[in-house]
Amino acid sequence: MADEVLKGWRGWFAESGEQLSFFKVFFRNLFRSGFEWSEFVRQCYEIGYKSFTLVGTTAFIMGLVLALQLRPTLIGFGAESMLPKSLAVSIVKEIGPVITAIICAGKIASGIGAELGSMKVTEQIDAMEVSGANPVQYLVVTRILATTAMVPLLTLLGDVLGLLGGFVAINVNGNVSLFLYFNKCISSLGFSDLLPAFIKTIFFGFVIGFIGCYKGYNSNKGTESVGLAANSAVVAASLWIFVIDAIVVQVSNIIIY
Amino acid sequence: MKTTSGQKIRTGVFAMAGLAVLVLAIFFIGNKKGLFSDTFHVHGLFKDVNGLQVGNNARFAGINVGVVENIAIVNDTTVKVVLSLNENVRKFIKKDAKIAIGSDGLMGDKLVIISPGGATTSEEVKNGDQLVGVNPFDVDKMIKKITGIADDAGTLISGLSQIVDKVNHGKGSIGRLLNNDKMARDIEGTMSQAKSTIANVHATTTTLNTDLKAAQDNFLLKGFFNKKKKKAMKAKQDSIKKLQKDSAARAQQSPAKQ
Amino acid sequence: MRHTESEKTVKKNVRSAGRGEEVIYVRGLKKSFGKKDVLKNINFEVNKGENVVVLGKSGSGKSVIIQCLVGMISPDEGELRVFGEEVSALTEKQLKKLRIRIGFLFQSGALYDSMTVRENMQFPLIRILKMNDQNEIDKRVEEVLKSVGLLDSIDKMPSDLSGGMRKRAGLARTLVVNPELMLYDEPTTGLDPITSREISNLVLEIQKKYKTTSIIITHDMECAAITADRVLVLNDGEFIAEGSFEEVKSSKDEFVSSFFK
Ligand SMILES: Nc1ncnc2c1ncn2[C@@H]1O[C@H](COP(=O)(O)OP(=O)(O)OP(=O)(O)O)[C@@H](O)[C@H]1O
Ligand SMILES: [Mg+2]
Repeated sequence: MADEVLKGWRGWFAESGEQLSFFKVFFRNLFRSGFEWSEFVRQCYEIGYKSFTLVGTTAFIMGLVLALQLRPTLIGFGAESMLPKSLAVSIVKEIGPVITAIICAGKIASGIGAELGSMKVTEQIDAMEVSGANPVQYLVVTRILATTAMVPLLTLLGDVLGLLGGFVAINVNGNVSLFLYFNKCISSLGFSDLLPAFIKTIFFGFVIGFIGCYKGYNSNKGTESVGLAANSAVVAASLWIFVIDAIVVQVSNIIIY
Repeated sequence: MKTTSGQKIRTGVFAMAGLAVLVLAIFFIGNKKGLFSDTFHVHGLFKDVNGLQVGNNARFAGINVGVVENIAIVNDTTVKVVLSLNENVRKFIKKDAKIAIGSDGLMGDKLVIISPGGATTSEEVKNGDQLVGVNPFDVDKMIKKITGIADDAGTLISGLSQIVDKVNHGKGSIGRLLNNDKMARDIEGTMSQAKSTIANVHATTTTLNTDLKAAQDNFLLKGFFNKKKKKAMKAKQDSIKKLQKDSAARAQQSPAKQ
Repeated sequence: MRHTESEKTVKKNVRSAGRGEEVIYVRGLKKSFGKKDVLKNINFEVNKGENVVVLGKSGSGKSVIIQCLVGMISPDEGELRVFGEEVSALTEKQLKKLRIRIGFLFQSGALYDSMTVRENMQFPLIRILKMNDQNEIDKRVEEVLKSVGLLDSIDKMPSDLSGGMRKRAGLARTLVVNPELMLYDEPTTGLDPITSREISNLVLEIQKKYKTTSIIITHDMECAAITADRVLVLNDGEFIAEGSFEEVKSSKDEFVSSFFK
């Protein structure tokens, strides 16, 4: 029993060490000349543009549902006019970034994990390396940068759609002009709400790309390892998202107050 | 796979849209906080800022015209509050303007209220001027006062109700009422209580008036006030109904008598 | 390492190795994965312009040997020189330079499946040879695809190719950069006899045309017969036989002769 626990811990530390050295490799290749622009743009398309429908729909529905659920409670307080404010704060600070990140972990991290995993299994990564090309620069750097850039953008657009969903929900019951609604939303937000949330999403994006690449790039050569890479990428990325979320909240609270 | 130009365009549009949201959000929020327009600074000294924070709004004539930029303790009884205000309201604020700390409601954010001034001078404020700080009215104090008044009112009402009770039960006529020592004493006591209560009420009404108005706007007390209003309305309606009934009854009676 | 010197002189005396310069020189190569000793004591050399065929059972470690040569796997022990350079002592940059001179045909072909055949060919040209003249690139790609007979599939995706076509495309991608040393890992496995023969002849042709040195790992006796200048037989972590195809074929050793039945 104790042995098993010890083994588990050791495995965990070994994995952490591996991730760290993978990070080092990524970082070194980040500043190497010959950045793969075309592949980067393609990844942005695959990761950003193609995830937009999913993220946007989910965010819209989240905003809608959130508004519908919050309304009765706020009416109970006689504070119905607080609805835009509550929506804006909760969507921009927490729900938007985390929901988007979790969806991206499910879609993007697993996609990257599976793609690189299968490239590993079919020796494509080895072939690239052996031919003298730089697979880390071509495959890993572009993907990690693409997620790091695209997840924040997805989140921002998701926030807007989420607030729009809230607007639709409010307008089912009452009648608020879009302008007034957005004015109220904006006026209830400060930089101290927007910036930590935005910075957080950059980390989310990085972690999604990094974990996906790490799991795929370091998967074994069996066929089953493709599924394993995809699966463990989602799990690890989701976990990291919540950990980062907690850390960012703490740090930004310390900095702001 | 090569990226087709269609993909590139779509990616570009997507990225631009995302960045536009970011830029707009920063602009709108920043605009609200007065980051991107010309500003000037004034400051005031307070004994107690009552939880005012950097970044809170400054209001002039009910309009947000700036923010609290800095709060610093000068010495053990003085706190300096620096405001950053929009340049375009400077011409409305005179040198003798006063600043006070208020709130958006009982639970709401604190804010700085600027009264325009202009009574003694018509000179505009300048950057770096000091304005007179009016110390904030303490919510705790107000609540204490309210409870005090309520207590007084309670005694008064119970005294009155006893009398009314007795009158209702037809115990004695007015002469008997006046001759009766106990009742006389009752009334005397009630009267003096009423006097002091009324004096109390008088003293606080002025301050309360403004604060209660704020309180009425506040969402927590809204329900309370609404209920009260409703009760008052109901009482009014009841009495009207009663009157109508009475007059109707009388109207029925009088022809019968005739 | 200890016995290297003596063995080297012995070998040289015995086989009059002075024919040409040695492209590959391996002594005392050892590699184990976990408890499994895959390679125990590998000694061989390959001369310039020579086609060496390696025979051995599946799982005997043939692929491991050539992976060691390009630094994909680092050996546990042994001296391993390619183009006169000790592979394990190379820095990352030097290793990259070395790898550019080597063509490695993977058992699976290892085509990049997110790219078309054309982009697969362009990939090493742009990234390794740093070519940027589009006309020249196109010319080179078409030339190499013509030589493997895939010119009409140039804009197909790898997933739309048959197994044999994929193998030929993989071969074309390795050839496109004109490597000095070719390492073929089972170039004909899984192909029909006719295509196999075509590929074998292609390997021979390449050797003639570009004066490349090659190591060919195979189970296919016909391929070995066509391409081999020399044959090495791997068993139990060591080379147990060496010689021309005919010599090895007529070996008395039961294990060795069992390959030719
Ligand atoms: N990266 C690795 N990690 C662990 N074990 C490995 C690795 N590569 C090879 N092996 C083991 O080494 C042994 C030899 O593998 P290798 O691929 O060289 O066989 P092979 O001779 O090429 O066989 P085949 O003809 O089937 O390709 C196998 O048992 C394999 O399990
Ligand atoms: Mg093999």
